[in-house]
Amino acid sequence: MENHDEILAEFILEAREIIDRLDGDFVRLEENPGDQALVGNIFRGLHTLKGSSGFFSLKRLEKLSHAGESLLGKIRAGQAELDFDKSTRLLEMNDILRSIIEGVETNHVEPEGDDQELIAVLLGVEPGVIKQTDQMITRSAQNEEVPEELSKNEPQSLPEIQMEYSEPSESVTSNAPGQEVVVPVKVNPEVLDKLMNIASEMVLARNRLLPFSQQSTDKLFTSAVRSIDLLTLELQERMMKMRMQPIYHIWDKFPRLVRDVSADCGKKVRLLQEGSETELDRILLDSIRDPLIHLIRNSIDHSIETPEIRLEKGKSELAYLVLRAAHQNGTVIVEVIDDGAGVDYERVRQRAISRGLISVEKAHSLNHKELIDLIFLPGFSTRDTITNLSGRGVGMDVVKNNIENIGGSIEITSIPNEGTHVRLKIPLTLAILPTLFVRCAEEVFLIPQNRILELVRFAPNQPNNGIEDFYGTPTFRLRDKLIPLLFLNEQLNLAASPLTPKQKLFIAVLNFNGTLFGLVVEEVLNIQDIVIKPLGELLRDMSNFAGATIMGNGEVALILDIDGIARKSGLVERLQANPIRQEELYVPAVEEMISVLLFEIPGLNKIALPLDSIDHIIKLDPSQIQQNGNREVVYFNEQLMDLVRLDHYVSGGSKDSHLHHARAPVLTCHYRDRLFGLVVKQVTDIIEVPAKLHELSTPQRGLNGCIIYNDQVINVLDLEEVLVMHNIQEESDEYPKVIDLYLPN
Amino acid sequence: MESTFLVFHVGVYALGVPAEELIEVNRNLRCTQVPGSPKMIRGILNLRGLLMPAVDMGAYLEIADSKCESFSIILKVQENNVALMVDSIGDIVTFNTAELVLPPAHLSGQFQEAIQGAFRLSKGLLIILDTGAILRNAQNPHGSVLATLQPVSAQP
Repeated sequence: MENHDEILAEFILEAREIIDRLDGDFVRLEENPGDQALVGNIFRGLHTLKGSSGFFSLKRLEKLSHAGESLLGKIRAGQAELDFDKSTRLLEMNDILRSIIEGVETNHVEPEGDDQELIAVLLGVEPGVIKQTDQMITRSAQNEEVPEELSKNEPQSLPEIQMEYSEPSESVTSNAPGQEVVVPVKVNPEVLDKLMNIASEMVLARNRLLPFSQQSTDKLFTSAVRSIDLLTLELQERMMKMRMQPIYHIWDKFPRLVRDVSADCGKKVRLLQEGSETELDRILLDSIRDPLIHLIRNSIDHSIETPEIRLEKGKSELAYLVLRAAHQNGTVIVEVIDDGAGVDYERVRQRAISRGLISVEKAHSLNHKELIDLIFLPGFSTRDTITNLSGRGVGMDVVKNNIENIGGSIEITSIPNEGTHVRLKIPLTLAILPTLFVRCAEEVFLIPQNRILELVRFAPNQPNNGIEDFYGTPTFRLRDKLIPLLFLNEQLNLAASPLTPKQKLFIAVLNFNGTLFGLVVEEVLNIQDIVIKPLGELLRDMSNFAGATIMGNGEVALILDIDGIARKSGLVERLQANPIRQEELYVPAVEEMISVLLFEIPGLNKIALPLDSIDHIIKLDPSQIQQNGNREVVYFNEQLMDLVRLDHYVSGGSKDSHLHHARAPVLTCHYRDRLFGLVVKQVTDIIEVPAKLHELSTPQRGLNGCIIYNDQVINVLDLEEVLVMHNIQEESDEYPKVIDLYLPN
Repeated sequence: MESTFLVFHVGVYALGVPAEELIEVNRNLRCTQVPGSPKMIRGILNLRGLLMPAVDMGAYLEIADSKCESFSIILKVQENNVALMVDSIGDIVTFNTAELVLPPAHLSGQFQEAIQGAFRLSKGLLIILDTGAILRNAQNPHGSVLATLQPVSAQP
C-alpha cells in the first residue's frame, strides 16, 4: 500500500506539472491556432493524464481529460476550430482537473462533482448522450489509438523533459528517436537548502585551514589544502548555480492570468515575454511572483483601456503588455510595460487630497515623479469602486514592501496615453549579502550594504562637529540637510568605549521608509559578502537584529535590522511631531556627469555643448553655402538650415574671415523646431564632465558658464542666447541691450 | 520503563536531561553576545555552521554560586537546537521512570514548570529538567530589556 501511495504522490506531482503547463499552452494556442506542435503537446499532456488516471482508477479525471483530448484531436485533425468559447471551456476543464488533483492529494479520493455538462460541450454532443457513451469511453480509453508520430516516443517522463526546455518545439526534438533521454531528478528544496548551507560552511572551514597551509613547509599538506581549496570553490559555485532558476518558472502562469483578467475587464491584451530564461535565486523567484501578479493586474485593470476607447484614441484595439527580464550589473531587472492610458496624474492628486494624505497646496506643487511616489502610500487607490481584481487598497505599498524586503527596488514611470513602465530591480541572490562590518562597543556588527546611502566621518568631541540639537534629537548637518542620529551603542544598551578628544566616529546614513537617519558607529571595518542565517526560534523577538552570520574565524556576528532599530528608537514618531525638512528625494553625493562635445571656434579652443543638444556633425563645403538676404543658409536633409558662425556671438571669439572659405565642421541642432548649423573651427573630443556649472562672475556673451575638467576651464556655450542673438540679426557685434526671447516661428 | 539521562552540575545541584535529546557535549565554545536578549541567554554560538542560543543554566535556574562557562551541552529539543552552559558534566545514567519523584507543589512558578521531577541518588537528588520549558522560557524574556520596552508600532 505504501508503494501505491508513493506512486500516487509521483503521479500527483506529474499531473500538477502537466496541468500548470496546459494553462499556458491553451492561451498560446488561442493566439496561434495553427500551431500544430502546440496542439500535439496539449494532446500528449492530456493523454498522459488520462492514461495515468485510468491506472489509479480516478474516473472523473479520466473522463474529463478524455473529453478534452477528443476535442484536441478534432482540432488537430482540422474538424474543429479553437475559438474563444472553446478555449474558455478547456481552461475551465483544466481548473477542474486541478481541483480534482488537489482533492486526491489531500483525501486520496476524487472529490465529488458533476462534469457532464462540460464534457458534453467538449465532446460537442448533447448532455443526454453522455450516459451511453460513458462505457465506451472507458473501454476505448484503454486502447485509444494514439496517432503514429506521437505514440512512438511517449515515455512517462515526457512532461519533465518539457520542464527543462520551455520551448515546446525543443521538447519535440529532444525526444527524437534514438536520442537518449536523461530524466531530471526531483529534489526536495529543503535538501537543497541544507546542501547550500553545508557548502557555505565548507568555504568557511577552508578559510580557517588556509593560514595553516601558508605557514606549513610540508609539501604534501599544502598540496592537499590547495586541492580542498579548489574543490570548495567549485562546490560553492555549483551550489549557487543550482539554486538559480529561470524566471519562466513563474512566468508560465501569466498567459493564463492575463487572459482571464483581460476577459473579466473586457479588454484585449496580448502578453509578450522577453528574457524568460533569465535566472534568479529560487527563493527570490517565489517572492516576486505575487508582486508581479499584482502589477500585471494593475496594468490591465487600471492602465489599459477598453478596445472602444483605444480605437477612439487612435491606438490598436489590441493592447500590449510586455514582461521583460534581464541581467544588469549583478542584479536582475524585471519590467512590466503596457501601452495603456498610464497613470492618471490628476486623479492621483485628487485622491491624495481627498484621503488627506497631503495638503491641497502641496498636492499642486508635486511633479509627476512625486505623484507616483504617492501611489506607494498604504491605502492608496485611484479606483472609486472596488473591483474583483484590484482597488482594495492593499496595493502598491505591499508590492513595494515585498520588493524591498528582498533587497530590491521598484520604479514607475508613466506617460499619459502612452502607458506605464514598472521596473523592478532584484538582487541575484538572497543567501549572500554584501554587508559592511562596523565596530561598536568592542563588538562587530553588520549592516546590509544596500541600506547604506553614504558614510560620513565626524569628530564628536571637536567644537565644530556638525551636530545640532533638534528638540532633543541630535542631528547632523549634512550638505544643508538635517539628519537625525541614533547612536548604535545606546540603541543596543552597550557601554560606549571612552573617546579620545580627537577620535572620529562614523555615521552610516540610512533610509527608513523614506526618512533618512544616521547610525553612529565607532569604526568601519570592511565590506564582505556573507551568508545570512536566521537567529532561530529562541531569539526571534530580537527586533534589533535581522540575523547572524559566521565569520571567517568561526565566530558569530550579528546583522543589524535597520528598520527594527529605527522603529524601536521612536525616531519616526519624534520626527513626525517635529518634522525636519528633508529633501523629498534623496540625491546621493555622487556627482552627476554629462557628456559634452568639445570643439574650437576661432579665438577660443575649449568650448563645449551638451551632446544631447546636437543632432549631427557634418563637414560643409563652402560651395554649398547659399545666401538668403544677409543670412547664410544650407539646404540640408531637405530643409533649410540657418548657418550660425559662433565666433560672431561668443565673447573672446575672433572673426576669422578666411575660415569662411574653408571646409568647416558644422554641428546641426534643433531649436524651436528650426534647424541651425553651428559653424566651428574644429571638433576635438567627447568627454564626460561633472554637470555642475560654475557661473561666470560677469556674464560672458554666448556662454552659460564653465566646467572645470582636469584643472582646465571648459566654456559651455549658451545655445539659446547665441541663437536669439542670431535671430535678432544684429548688424553690429555689440551685445544687445535687451534680449527678446520672441522667436518667429 | 527505563530512561537514560545525562547528568551535569550547576553550582551544588546535580541535574539531568533526557539523553535522547543530546547531540554532543563540547568545551570552550565561543559565543557572541546578543544585546537586548534575555539574561539567561549568554549569546549565540556556532556549532559547525548551526547557530544556536547558549543558555546560562545558572541564570535560568537562579543558582547563585555557578559560573557556567566552559561546558556546553548541545540538545535538540522539538527541532530546535540549544546549548546549555553548565559547570561540569557527569555520567549517563539509567532510571526506571516509575521512580521519578514529582516536584513539591509549593515550588514557585518558573521552577514548577522547569522541573519534571527527581530521582533519588545514593547522595542527594538528581533533578530532571523539562527541556521544553527551557525553550519556552528563553522565548519569554525574563527581566530583560525587551520586557520594559513596548515595541513601537509601524507607521500608520
